[in-house]
Amino acid sequence: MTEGPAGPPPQDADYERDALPWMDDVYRFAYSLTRNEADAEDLVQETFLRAFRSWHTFQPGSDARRWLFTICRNAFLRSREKTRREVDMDDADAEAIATVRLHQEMRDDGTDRALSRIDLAPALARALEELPEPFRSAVIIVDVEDQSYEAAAEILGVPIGTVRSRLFRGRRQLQEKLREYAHDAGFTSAGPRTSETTDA
Amino acid sequence: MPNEMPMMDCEQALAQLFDFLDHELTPERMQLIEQHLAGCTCCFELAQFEERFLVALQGIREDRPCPHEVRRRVLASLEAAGFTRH
Repeated sequence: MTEGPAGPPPQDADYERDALPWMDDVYRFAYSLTRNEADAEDLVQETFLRAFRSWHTFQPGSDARRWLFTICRNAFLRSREKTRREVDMDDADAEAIATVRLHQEMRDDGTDRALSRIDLAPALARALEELPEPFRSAVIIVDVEDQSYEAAAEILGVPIGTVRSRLFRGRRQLQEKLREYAHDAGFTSAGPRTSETTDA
Repeated sequence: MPNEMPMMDCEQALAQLFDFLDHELTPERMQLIEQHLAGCTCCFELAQFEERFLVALQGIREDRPCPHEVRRRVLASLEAAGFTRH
């Protein structure tokens, strides 16, 4: 066998340089999808193996993180046997308007003001864990991982319009959860009834 | 008045508020919505609320690096698949 030049093959060096540095981000993304350390570990391993085997398809200079997230998300869907297409019937603009109505209600009952005075992070983190798919992935990718609509469309394998409708609906559902939290905690005028409450 | 941009009403502005806050609109559309928000208290307050919400959402990103053992397993599986480290 003829010995090659010293060092790894060029494609391996490129993979090591361009793909491996994203392991922390991919692990965080995998954990946000699975909410389970063991599953996240398996998902990360599968992601990087698949990426390595299909490295020849990666466009040099393009966004490796986005590409890895796409592989990760597809592997996640396969593991959940959710390969059937998710049909989105919702209109993104209608979701945006529904969010406006929700905000008006929150302004009327004081939730808006209450939420501006507290740390939203714990309640939001809990609400995000409970947010169902496909809305949770859209919110994680755009809002938590700070990806564009275009990047999210590529990662999720759906049109940008679908990203918008899932994202806006996910955000609205999170805000509804925050409203419930504010009510349950007694932060708003529409909080739990007490013996001092009189009926009008 | 060929250079005058049409004003935007509340419904139009709010339908694209998230796109605006996500910087996903053309510069012309961004400017139209900015103009509307500058002149409409109601929409401006909603925009402020939504911006706070989005900032809070971005803030829940966890600091969760890949554990060393997982990293080691990934590299071992890559090497078993023929990957050669530098």
